[in-house]
Amino acid sequence: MALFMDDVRISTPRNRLAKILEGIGGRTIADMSSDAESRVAVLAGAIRKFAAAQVAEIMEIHRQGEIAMFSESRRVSSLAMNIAETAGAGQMHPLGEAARGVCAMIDALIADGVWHTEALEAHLNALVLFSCPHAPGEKEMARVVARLSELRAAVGITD
Amino acid sequence: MALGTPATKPVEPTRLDLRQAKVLLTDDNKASSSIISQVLVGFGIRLKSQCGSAAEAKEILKIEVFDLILLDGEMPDEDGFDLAQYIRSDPNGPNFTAPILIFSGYTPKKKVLRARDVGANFVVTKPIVPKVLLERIQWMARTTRDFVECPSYSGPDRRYQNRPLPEGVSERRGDTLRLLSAPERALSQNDIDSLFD
Repeated sequence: MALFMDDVRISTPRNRLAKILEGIGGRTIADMSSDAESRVAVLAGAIRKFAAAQVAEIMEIHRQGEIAMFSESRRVSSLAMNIAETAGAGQMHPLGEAARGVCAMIDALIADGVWHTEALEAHLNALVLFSCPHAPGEKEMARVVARLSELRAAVGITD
Repeated sequence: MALGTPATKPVEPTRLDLRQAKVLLTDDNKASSSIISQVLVGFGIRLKSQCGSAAEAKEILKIEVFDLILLDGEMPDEDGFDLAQYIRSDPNGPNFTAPILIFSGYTPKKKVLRARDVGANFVVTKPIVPKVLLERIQWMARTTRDFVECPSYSGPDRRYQNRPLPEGVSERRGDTLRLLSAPERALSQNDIDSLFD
């Protein structure tokens, strides 16, 4: 498509956010961040419960067998995304990383039609392990997260 | 202090006042929405509208003017990318040039590029780190970037980069090319910023 100067308009709209720099009662970034972090910390318990419920729903689909997992893959991805979006705020970073891995694997399925049963199974096991009340220590979980990343790379899914 | 040494004035930390900023938050994930909402309250934002879907947001976007629009990248049916494109597609809409920030829990390069191409101002990874979000808001408040409208794109003019080069980076284009040549992977917040700057 040919593009002519008549087709292009460049303007300088008023910056609607500029007013936040001018307020007299402003607070520092450090103060505001700290206030926000304290408020999020209060939600940690609810976030953990929410994440556990998402994992339970994924595992319920998984229990129905591979065909169900395949046909419900978008739902599984959506549940995993719910975990990835929130787990870190509940101090469950490894769980968030494992969930991101599930999203990456289902993305690969949707984009390229690639399905890796065993690799997906390993990710689901990690979700269960990381969300249980007796989850392993931080170092152990970090090692599992690193192994999952290697596993995805080995099957051609690099993140 | 030795005589003759010029006195240095202590640098005052930047102060922001978000009490009058009108913000729209659209996110279908209720837990995530609660987290972001609390972050916004912590920032002092009082004028906040929350929607659980793109369809709901569209109704509000037709009639209200927002200073900042926060969209979840992953929503069923229409996602945050589609909604950003919708906002940027109507030059007569009240929020056509409003700052748009897209959140995403999983940020492979293709998603970040999609956000940029639909005219979003920034992508921020979820879960939200309050300081990261606030710095991006401050960045948008300070920007003097123009706005481009043409048949294939409406959004911030990214032909010129106006941030100083990060420490250790000799040329910006070389840095970006290295990033773009990397295989498909989830990008860090720094990688994402460099594609938007």
